[in-house]
Amino acid sequence: VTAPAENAPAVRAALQVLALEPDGWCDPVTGACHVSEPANTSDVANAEPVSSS
Amino acid sequence: MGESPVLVELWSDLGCPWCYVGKHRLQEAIARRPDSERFELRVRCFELNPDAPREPETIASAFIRSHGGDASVVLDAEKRIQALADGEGLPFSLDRLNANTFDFHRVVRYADSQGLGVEFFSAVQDAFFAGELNPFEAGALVGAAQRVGLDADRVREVLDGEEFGVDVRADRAEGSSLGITGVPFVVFDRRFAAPGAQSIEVYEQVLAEVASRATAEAAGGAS
Repeated sequence: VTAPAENAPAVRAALQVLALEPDGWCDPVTGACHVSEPANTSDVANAEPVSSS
Repeated sequence: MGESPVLVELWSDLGCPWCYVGKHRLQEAIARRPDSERFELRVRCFELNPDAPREPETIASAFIRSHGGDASVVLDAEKRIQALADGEGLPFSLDRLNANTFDFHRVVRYADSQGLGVEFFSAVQDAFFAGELNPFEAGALVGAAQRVGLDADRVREVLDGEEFGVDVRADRAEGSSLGITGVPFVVFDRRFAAPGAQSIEVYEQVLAEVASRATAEAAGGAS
């Protein structure tokens, strides 16, 4: 029997989480929210997963 | 012939200030595209603190309760986000309350089942951050739901029972399985994901990339 949840690893393998520095984010584990320093600007062009095939 | 549709899923929580900023930026990025209608935005639930108390408390109190120490850290961060939000034309009240968002998310899932998930989420989120609505009052949620076209009696029924709780938990579990590292977390056509609040320009670039790939894939499939 194949449980629906077993599809998740396959989806995750296909999904590319871009290595982008956000302006801010909330931590999914602790719930704490963070502000990035101004110098940490993001550029999708520098995120390898986007430019890779 | 219309362009192939592109699903954009936004995992977020109500109390998360970056989800507020990030959602507006994402919507602006979509609106700037000439093919904006091909993008279907869906909100997905991600409770940042499922164990948060149901009784509302101030942001400072919530921070001290969960992290201890001095609340000046979170208040300083709030002021920085407020300044940023102000610059983007987004009202940002520092007097917001904090509490468990499970019931709110259950109504979001109901609204989504009626095709109004984004509308309801946005209505409550915008009014909450503007300091105009207490989302931890059932009556306020019912009113917001009614204003976006949902059936008030049905929303009260959802709030009085346990409906859609399974869906809320499933959303969070799925998000975790996809590798959420920061909330908001935007998944584009199940191809790319962007963690945290990105700039409008970054969202535009990802939208362009994913749209291009979706179009190429559709053309390949049609040939």
